[in-house]
Amino acid sequence: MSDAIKAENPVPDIVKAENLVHSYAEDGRRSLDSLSLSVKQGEFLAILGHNGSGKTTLARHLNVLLEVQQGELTVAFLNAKDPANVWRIREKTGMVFQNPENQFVSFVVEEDLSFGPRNFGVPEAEIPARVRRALAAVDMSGYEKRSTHLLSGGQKQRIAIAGVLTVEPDILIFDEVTSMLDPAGRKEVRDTIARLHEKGKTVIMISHDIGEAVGADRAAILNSGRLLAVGTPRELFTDPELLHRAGLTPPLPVRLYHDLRGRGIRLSYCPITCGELEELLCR
Amino acid sequence: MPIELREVSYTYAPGTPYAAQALKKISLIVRDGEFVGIMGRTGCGKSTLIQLAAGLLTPSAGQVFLDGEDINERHFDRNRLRQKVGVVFQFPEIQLFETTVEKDTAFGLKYLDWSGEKKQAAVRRALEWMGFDFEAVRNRSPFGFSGGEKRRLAIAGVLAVMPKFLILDEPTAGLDPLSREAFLELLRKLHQGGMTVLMISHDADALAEYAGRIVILKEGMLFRDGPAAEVFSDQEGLKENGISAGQVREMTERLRRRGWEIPCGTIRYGQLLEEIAGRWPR
Repeated sequence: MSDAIKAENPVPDIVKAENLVHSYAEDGRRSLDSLSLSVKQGEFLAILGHNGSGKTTLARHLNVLLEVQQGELTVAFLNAKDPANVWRIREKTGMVFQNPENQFVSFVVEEDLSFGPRNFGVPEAEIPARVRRALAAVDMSGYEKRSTHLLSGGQKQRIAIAGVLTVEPDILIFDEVTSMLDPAGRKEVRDTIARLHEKGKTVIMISHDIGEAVGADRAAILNSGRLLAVGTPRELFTDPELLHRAGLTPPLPVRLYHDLRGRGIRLSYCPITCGELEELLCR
Repeated sequence: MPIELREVSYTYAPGTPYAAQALKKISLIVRDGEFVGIMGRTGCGKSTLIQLAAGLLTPSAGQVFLDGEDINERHFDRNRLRQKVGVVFQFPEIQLFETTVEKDTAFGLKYLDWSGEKKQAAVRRALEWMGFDFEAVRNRSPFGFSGGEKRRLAIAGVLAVMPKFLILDEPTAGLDPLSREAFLELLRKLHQGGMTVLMISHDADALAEYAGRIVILKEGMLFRDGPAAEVFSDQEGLKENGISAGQVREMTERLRRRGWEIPCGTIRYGQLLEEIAGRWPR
C-alpha cells in the first residue's frame, strides 16, 4: 500500500481509551489514572509494566469485565460504557489468562471449546466446524477427544487460546499467558500468538518479559496506572533508564551494549535481540 | 541438616486405571548450606519431589531422611519437620486468608512456644525482608494488594517461622523483573545466612546466577546433577530435552560458534561481560 493511499484510508483505532480512571479500593487509590491509549486494527501491541502497574486492570476493561468508572472507552468500535454493548464487545474480544489450569470448563477438549460459541448462541450445527478451525489455528488439530488435564502446559494454553478463537473475536488479549510455562511451552504459545497476528487478529499482549515483546509492532509501558511511554520496542527497550523507572529490566543485548560502553567498547548501535548482538560482535 | 532421598519412587493413584508413576528411584542428598536448583519440563516430577522432601507425600518406595532420621517413621516428630522445612508452593498468594497482613503472616507461628514479642518481631522482619513497610501494611487486608505483592506477602508467612531449609516451587513466575531480582537477592542473603535452599525454576538465568548446583529431572528420573557451570555447559543435550540453559548461555554459544574462545561454562552475566570485554577487539 502506498503512503498516499494509507493516508487516505488510515487504519482505524480498534481500541481507544481516553482518560480512563479506575479505583478498586474505597480509599480512592487509582489503579488506572487518566490513561489514554489506542490500538490500531491488526496491530500487535505489547503492554508492559511492573506488578500492580495497572496492566491487568486495563485488560479487564477491554472486555468489560470491569465497567468504566471515569473516562471514555471504545472497543471494537463500540462504546464500552453503553450496557447494551457489553455482550457484543465480549464476543469481539477474546481474553486468555496466566494460569492454564483454571480456564477450562470441561475435561474434554471438544466440549471445552464448544462452551464459548454455545453461550453466544452460535447454532449447534456450526460449532464442530468452529472447533476444528480453532484447533487448526493453534496447531492442535485432532485433539478434539483428548482430556484437558492430560495436556502439557503449553498445550493447555493453546487450548485456552483455541477456546477464545471459537467465538471468532477480532481482538485477542493475552494476560501474561506464558509466565507459568516451561521454555518449550513458552515457545509454542509465542509462535501461536505470532501466527494469529499474521493472520490479521489484533493482538494485545500483557507481559513483563521484555524478550517476549521485542516482536510487537508497538509497546506501551504502564507505571502506577499511568502511561509512561509508548513507541516501538526498539525505541523503548534501548532506554535502560526508562525501563528502570517502570520497574523493568533491559533485554540481555541492551544491558551488554551499555556495560560494554562503560568499558570503552562502542558498538555501532544498540541491539535488542541476541542475533543483532552476535552480528555486531562478529563483524 | 541434610535432606536425603534414598531410592524414592512415587505413584499417584496406585492400583487404579489412573495410576501414574511420577518418580522412579530417585536418590539425592541436599547438604547444609547448599543452594540447589531443580529443573525439568512440566510433568517431570519436580513438584512431587519437593513434596516428598517436605514430608507432604509419603513415598511409594524408598525413604526420606532429615538429619539422618526417616521422616516417614511412625515415631518421627513431624512438628520438627514443619518448623525446620518451609515450603513456598506455586502461586502461594492463593493461601492468603486472614483479615490483616499481620495476622496472615503470623499464622504459621501460632503453635510455636514463642513469646508475643518474639512472634511480632519475626513477622516484622519477614515482611521487611519481602520489601514491605511493616507499620504501613500490618492492618491492611492482604486481598487489597496486587498479584506480585500478594506473592511476597505469602512468602513472608513462610519466612516468619525462620525455617532452616527453604523449598520453593517456581517462586518467581509471574513476578515483574525488579521484584524477581529483589526476591532472588533476598534468597541469596538468606542462603549466605545459612539457610539451605531448594528451588524449582524454569528460569535458567536465575539459577545460573544464584544456585551452585543444578538437578534436572526427566520423566521421573535424575537426568543431570552437578555444578551449575557443568550442567549448563551441555546446552545441546538440555535443549533436546526441552530445557533452556538460559539466555547468557545461549549468547555464549552464539559467540563460540562464530569463533570466540569463550569457555562453555560461561553462564552468568558478569562472566559473559568479562569474557567479551577481555577479548575485544578480536
